Amino acid sequence: MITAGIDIGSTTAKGAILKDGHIEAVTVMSTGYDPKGAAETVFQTLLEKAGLDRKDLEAVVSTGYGRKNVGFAGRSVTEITCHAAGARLLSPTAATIVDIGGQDSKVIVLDSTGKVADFTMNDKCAAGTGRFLEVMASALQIDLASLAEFSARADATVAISSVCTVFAESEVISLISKGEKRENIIAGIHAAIGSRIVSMAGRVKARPPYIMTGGVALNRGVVRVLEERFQSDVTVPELAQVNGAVGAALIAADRNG
Amino acid sequence: MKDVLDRFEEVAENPQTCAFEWKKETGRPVVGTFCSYAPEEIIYAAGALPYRMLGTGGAKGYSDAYLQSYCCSVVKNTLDDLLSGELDFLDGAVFPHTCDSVQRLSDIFRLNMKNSFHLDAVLPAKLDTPSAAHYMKSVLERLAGDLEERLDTRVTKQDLTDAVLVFNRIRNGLRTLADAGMDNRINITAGELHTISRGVTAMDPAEAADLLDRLCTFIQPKAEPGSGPSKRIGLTGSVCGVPSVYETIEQAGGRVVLDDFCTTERYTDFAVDESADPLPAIAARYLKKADCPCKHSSLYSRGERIVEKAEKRGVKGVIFLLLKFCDPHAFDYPYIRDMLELKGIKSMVFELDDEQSVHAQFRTRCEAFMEML
Repeated sequence: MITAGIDIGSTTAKGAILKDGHIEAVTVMSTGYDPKGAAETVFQTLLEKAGLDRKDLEAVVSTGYGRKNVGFAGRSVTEITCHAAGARLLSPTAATIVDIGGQDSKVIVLDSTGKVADFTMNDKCAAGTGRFLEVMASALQIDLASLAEFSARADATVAISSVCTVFAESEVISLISKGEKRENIIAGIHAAIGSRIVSMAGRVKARPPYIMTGGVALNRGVVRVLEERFQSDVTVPELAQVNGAVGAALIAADRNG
Repeated sequence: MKDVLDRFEEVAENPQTCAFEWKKETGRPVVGTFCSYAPEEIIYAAGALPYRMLGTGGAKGYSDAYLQSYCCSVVKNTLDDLLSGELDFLDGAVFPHTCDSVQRLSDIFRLNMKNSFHLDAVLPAKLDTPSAAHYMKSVLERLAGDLEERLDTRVTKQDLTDAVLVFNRIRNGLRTLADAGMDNRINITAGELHTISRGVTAMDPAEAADLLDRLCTFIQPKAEPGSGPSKRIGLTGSVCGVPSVYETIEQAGGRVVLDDFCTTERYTDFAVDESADPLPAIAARYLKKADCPCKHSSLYSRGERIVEKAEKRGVKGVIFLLLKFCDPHAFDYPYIRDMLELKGIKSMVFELDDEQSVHAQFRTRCEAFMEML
């Protein structure tokens, strides 16, 4: 059975095609201002990569904040359920998923069958998400992808008292003007995200093994902080960014799901 | 049925206008109240319309000069309404003793109300002590006396008995409709029930009782088969000022069968004994009705009541809808969540601020909650 999952996030649009439970193709692109157009482009790219035609697909499930904008999907399922489903394939032993995307952060606890047992996510404030890191990177005039590398060189962790993007940005600017090292400020930024996630995890009784998904999982600095705070390994699956799309494709294949 | 629902909607959407129109038409006073512990029967027996102040919203900004930023939106919006002059039609206000913010709001009202009186009803906080009944009765007797003086009237036993009958009809009508709604015996949604309960807060009680009686005639003896989604949901929190919450839950595949807000089940719970001396009977009702976190009946009374209702109604999941900065409900949340969990009932907490409609995160969380159930 061939199915597709389309995950339209606030920052990136992801897609996955599965054939009999095996990944045939995945793709990631920027969502931009047009979630509907991004969904269409992701779908076309996937089909080309897998060498398939639309009619070859038996079901498509959409997910992500733009899930209602995917007209060609048979149904939409929330990213929380899709991440749990994706983890069942990509990290079958996972008990807790930490997903930090462009504007959302979530902690999803799984039951023994890999289904969602409990979850929590940020409310309308995007504090401590990918957007927060983007703004901090811009304030520090470094590339987003370099944050982890900088934090690895820190010799101290500067205390950042808030993960509110606005407050933290002015705090970071104050630290820069005081001559604080960028490496140490970035370590502080990562620590602030870690504190927020640990607080969310406590609310849903998160437990190891932990995995991390979403775009921020690509930042090793944040992953390291979480490992320290959880006192446990935090695994980042090879396809962490497309975990939700993979889950959507798996749900599409499950007629009872 | 539609004309009745339309009337409740009209009052729910324009509570101040409707109360002011009532005052013009009847020439009788309007007394503002705050929370479901305000003894409306006594205010109505004194010839006045009890008007429930819930705050009309819209972030007018006047209250910022008086309140700290960590006040809930109901307190802020109500003060905004007062300071903007929208509550100038009130002849007085009665504040029952509830949370810290409401007590301070009461003081600010006392200092800023124009040509109208202000009364505090300092009700007992502990409702399970031997002296609570006597204390509650004496507070209500004093309130009745104060109202007589301020409104230049007499509150007779017959006035109290008549008021009790009207408010019992209202609460009984709301309860009957809610029960019928959850059993599919009347084509009425939880969102419409919420609108009705809001309309009741600013409407002539006699009219409200008559309209509810009319609505109850539409109740069928048997349930309509198979209508509506199957995930039975409970809601709890202080008050809900966002009607689209109900629609969102329904769109996500839920069905609200327990609505434990201050304007819904905590308001309708427990009737006054009509055969007893009215004032002590009113006092007894306010001791026995479903309590809120600002009152103490026993250590676990709120949790026990919510769990019992949830189990009785087959609730699969409870959504705690907390107003931002509402400490009393936030403090109660962890232990009630744990009590529900012990019975296998899942829960989700969501914080609402002063918003006119729910935002995308609430929709996503609702959908995910239904998927999880």
